[in-house]
Amino acid sequence: MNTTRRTTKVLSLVAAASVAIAACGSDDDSSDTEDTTVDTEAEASEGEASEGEGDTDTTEAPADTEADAEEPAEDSNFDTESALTGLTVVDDTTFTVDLSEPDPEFNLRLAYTGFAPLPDAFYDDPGAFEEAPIGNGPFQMDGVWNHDETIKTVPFADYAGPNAPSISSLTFNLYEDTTAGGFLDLQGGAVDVVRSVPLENLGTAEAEFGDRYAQTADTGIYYYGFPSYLEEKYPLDLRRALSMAIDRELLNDVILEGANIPASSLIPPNLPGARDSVCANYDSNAEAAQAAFAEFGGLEALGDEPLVVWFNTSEAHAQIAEAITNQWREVLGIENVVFENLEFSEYLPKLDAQEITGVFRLGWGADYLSPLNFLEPLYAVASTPPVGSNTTFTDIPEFDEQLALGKAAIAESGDLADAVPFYNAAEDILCENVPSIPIYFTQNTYVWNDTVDGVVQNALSILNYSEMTGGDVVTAAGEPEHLSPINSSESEGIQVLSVLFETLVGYNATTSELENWVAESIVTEDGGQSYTITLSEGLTFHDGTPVTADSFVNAWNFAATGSNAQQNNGFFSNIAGYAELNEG
Amino acid sequence: MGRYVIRRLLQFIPVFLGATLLIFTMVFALPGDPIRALAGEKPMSESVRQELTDQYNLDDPLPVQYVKYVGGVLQGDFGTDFRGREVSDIMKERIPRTARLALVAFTFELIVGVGAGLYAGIRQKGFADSLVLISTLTVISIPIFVLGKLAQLLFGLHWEIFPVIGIQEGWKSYILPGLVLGSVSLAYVARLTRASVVENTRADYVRTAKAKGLKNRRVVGVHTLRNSLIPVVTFLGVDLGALLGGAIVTESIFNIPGLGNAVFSAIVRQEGTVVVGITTFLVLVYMVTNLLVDLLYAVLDPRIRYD
Repeated sequence: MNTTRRTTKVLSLVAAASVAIAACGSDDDSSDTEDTTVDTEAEASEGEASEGEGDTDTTEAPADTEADAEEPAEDSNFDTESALTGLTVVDDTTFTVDLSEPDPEFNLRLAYTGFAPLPDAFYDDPGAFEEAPIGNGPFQMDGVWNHDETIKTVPFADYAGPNAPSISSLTFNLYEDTTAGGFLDLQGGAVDVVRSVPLENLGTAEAEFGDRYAQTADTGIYYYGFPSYLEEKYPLDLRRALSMAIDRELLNDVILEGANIPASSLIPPNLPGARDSVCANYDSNAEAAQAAFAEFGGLEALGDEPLVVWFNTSEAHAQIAEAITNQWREVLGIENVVFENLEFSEYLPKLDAQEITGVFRLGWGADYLSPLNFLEPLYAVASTPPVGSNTTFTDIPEFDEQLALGKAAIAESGDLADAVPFYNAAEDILCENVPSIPIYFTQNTYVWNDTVDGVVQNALSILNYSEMTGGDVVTAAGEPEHLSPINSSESEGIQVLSVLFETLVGYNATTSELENWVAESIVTEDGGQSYTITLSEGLTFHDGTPVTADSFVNAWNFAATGSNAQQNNGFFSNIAGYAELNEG
Repeated sequence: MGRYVIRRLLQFIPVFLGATLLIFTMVFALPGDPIRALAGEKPMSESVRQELTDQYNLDDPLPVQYVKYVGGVLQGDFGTDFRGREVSDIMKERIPRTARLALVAFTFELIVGVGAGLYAGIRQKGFADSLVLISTLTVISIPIFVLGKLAQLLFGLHWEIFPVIGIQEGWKSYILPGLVLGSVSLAYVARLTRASVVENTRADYVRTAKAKGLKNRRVVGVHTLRNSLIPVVTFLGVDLGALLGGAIVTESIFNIPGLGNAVFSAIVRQEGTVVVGITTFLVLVYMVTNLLVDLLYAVLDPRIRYD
């Protein structure tokens, strides 16, 4: 008796709750249907447009629009209408790009997978597209993305670009822990190439693999930053002392197994303008550090407040922080140190919101190979959060001025080398002001089995699968977050996309030099304010549709529209009309 | 019996609501901005951030978020993770993997564990008994990641009997991790069975059975073992839930993309929908196995009756 009464009570409660929920549910539904009607209209008009101009289009395009009309995608909250005013299609193989302000290095940026073209099939259902992306690269999907297990690709038979592969298939084995898992599988023979060796195996890798182990330049920096809003607590002399007190050589040898390059500058060694030493402040020098610390006022000036070191939770960051603070203790006698470690999701917003209370660690990897990419995004006023990554909130007008001069120099001559003196002058200014301490430059460390040959990893940490030989090649990767050029911003996704898609320009795997890929030419005649891009003819996507100027322009418009929530949205921010697509 | 089962099944409803609310609140309470973390060290444009925050209702207060979530679940929509994948897809994909792993482990601990315990129990103080006691003690004392790494080194890299890592080779891939995962529980099952058997061999009904002149096999199999299994079944029931949900260490050593790993990374990424979806499933598994255990009591011991 008792029990039945209790159950009815529970049941009636549940019933009441579900009525309430149903009520909210129906609200959502109605707004959803409104959305879809708007979208179907949008799609219809776009379909008409493409048919109108589509004399040259293959038969596939109309077929697609028909399919659309029959079954409108369930949650097509995407906006395919909005367009950047800066993009203009001239003809099938030519389009122009107008920037909101001159950028003489815009053509270098185009090597990033985020600028790849997309086929019409993408717009049917951008979410589903990621399960089996149709690209224009040397490899095409063999089946669908088998989540957390494998991504299989085979060479694209009709590939007409410069990177035709000679291996017969390429499989990405997906690991939860790519480095450790991939390395173990390589030892067991199930994987042929691993693009990064676990820290604990670095010491023995050379002995174990001989000439099947390689270290090549990557382009990235690991640094400690001083927030400028803490200037009072961390004045220049203290910053200089802390920088010079770090023995970067020792740190690299002991903690990092010699896998990286000790950094005494801000421009990585494989870029033009790289120097061994910039100024005394970035060199490791215990005596000079003590002298600077004395000028600051020594331990007394530091007072009772602890020195706080911030980093995001990870074993490696903790070890590095431990080693660095040990050196501060030995050289400067600073005992009172506190660590603050947070998960990335908590760490990053604090950096953006100026809530850091001490020194913080961060890293930076190149988007494209230019010294500017290591100076402007991290220290220019224009890059202050939330727009950019200047998390030290550095604001030095003379520095910004040198960058502008450098850009003007490229704009005039079209040669990066002419900008280098100005970029170096900018680097000097940072060295004098020490907004950050460079610690090391990253390197690629990778191994492969004797079944493959010709393995090279380039300066952006991409393996040259197109130049390898060895039949069926299996490589280790992590589960990508996304598999769409405009929505993938992390390295695992980019690694896979770089074989499925081909960008306008790209870096040669062996020489790391910029080459034209899909582009036949990229020309600017007004110092980087506007570019005319001409495509090579006869290139197709894996589904047989041609790669045209529209393939680029539509993809970029879609990515630049804020409401489409594509991760690489920010990469289009300097194209004219971006602001209008990202208001509210 | 029937009424008892229905009553137990009805209890699932409040437990479901309670568990989801509790877990949802805990994920909600985690500090930080999961959307900002998606972009990593690169900046994320404000418009995209706002759009994603709206999509996942992250600006809503907790009760609104929860009602929207449960509303979705009741309509069969478990939501998506921050990469836009359906949580139901993730579960469909991962449950079979973890289930296979758990099945291998469970079969192993059930057969070998009960067998060894029984044998040690009836040959009390003999060589076999000591062997079982010492070997189980050893297994219990070694942390599971040491066992796992050792097994990989010996069976995978050295003797090449099993794949070292991953699930590329189907069932074969699950044997080694399953044995490692089951080994610790096996030790408990063996010891539990042994203790219970030792106690029961002195029981009145066993003496009676012997005195009746029953065959030894029948005395051990029906009278001793059956009555000794009650504590073992209790343990196995709880353990099945633990094997499904708590295999994070084994799953990461052997790179098995199962439920444990999914929950762990979802907590780090603050993907409430994934955490709640999977843990709720695990809660249900616990409840079902507990119900089965309770029903098994009645089968094993006729003195126990429901209703």
